[in-house]
Amino acid sequence: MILAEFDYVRPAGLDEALALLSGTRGAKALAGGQSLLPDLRSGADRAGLLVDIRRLAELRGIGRTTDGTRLRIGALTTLAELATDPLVLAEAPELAAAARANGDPQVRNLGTIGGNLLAAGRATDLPVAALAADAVAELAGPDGRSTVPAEELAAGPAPAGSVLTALLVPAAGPAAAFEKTADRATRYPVCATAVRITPGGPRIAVTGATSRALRLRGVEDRLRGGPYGTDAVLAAFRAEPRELFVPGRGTSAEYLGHLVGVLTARALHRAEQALAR
Amino acid sequence: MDITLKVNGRPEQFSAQPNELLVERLRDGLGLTGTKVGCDTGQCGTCVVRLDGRSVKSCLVLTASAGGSEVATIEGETTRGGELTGLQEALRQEHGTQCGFCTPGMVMALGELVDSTAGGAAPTEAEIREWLTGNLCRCTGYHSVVRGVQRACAVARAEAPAGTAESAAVAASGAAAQEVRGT
Repeated sequence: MILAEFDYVRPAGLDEALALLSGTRGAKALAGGQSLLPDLRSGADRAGLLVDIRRLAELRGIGRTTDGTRLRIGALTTLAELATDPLVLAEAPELAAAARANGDPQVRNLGTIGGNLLAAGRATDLPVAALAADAVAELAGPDGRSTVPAEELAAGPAPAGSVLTALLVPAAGPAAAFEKTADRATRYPVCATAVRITPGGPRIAVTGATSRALRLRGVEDRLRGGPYGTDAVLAAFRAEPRELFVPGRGTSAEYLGHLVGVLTARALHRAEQALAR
Repeated sequence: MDITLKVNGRPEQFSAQPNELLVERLRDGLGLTGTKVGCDTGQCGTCVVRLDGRSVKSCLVLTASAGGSEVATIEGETTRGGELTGLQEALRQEHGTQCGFCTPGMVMALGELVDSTAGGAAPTEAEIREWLTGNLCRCTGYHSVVRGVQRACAVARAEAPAGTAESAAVAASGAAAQEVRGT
């Protein structure tokens, strides 16, 4: 039961949704609702008006951009759809794997990539994959459309009154992977890591073990040129400052620093194997 | 606000508050108490129903947001002439229910797995266990539930025109004999 009271409206299109979100005090977008509804119930979040965008067709769909180099993934794509989409599996496998690692089948059936990317204060799985993929988020707001690198989106809240409309992801083929150690009860990551091997070197991002999803350029630089053996990867992480890793329930910084290295070595190994096939 | 829903094939029309959850409408408004409330926080899965075919937790859906959709609850599974569905019968045979409180949610969640894999290979044990992450059961330890799904899939494939009863019997006994790992 949700004790908090709010109004509810289902706009017919994105423009109407944007007008409601920027013109109404306490208005919040409702998509899959898999984080928002529990938060409204617990009092962790509040809203005066829920603007239900779940059925807006213009925020759905997965396809290639016209130049073919990127995938455009609509923000209302569910995690279940992302995890099983053939194009995503072929061109951005770390995103598909991250989507599959989230929650449970029922949460993935309603939870959207937009909600997962914007889940404030939660270590969700998609942002780390978006960082490794060097993805760009497409936003629509009262002042028009804009694009924001995934790295910027992970660093702070999206502009007020704006709606994430799509994620643009460079197509990489198979050379990417995602690994996660999940908290047994909550399914949130104790640590998750995503990697993508590019001609310029590896891109490596982590979450869970750190204060938020982060690209680790220092580790990338140390590993440039390879090889990505477990010892080399662990050493590359040991060179990071200890304060990078934030101890959690039952985890020390030392443990997290080791775990993130092991998971990253595994991910790099799988990406290399996929590339060799 | 005025809302229309199709529940187990029957059109329903009613007025609901914006903060009403789908599980509250099903149980308190429509009297469909087969859908249970275990945790009310989206963890336990005993409120799982099918929303436009996909399994969802009905405590994590606003009634208003479900408006215009088709909802299937456990009551719709058992009203086909009073007979159990293949999945229900297989769960019964493998003792996949004990106290039974999680069973409606299990059936509605696992039904999607069985349906979505019907045209191809049966789900592996790992896939079945992964699919169960949204349903808590404190009695069975899940092993008998996993065997129930394996049996249901084997029986369904045996009854399909392409399969044979013999291969299904082999598959079913193989599934039952398979060593089960801890979840």
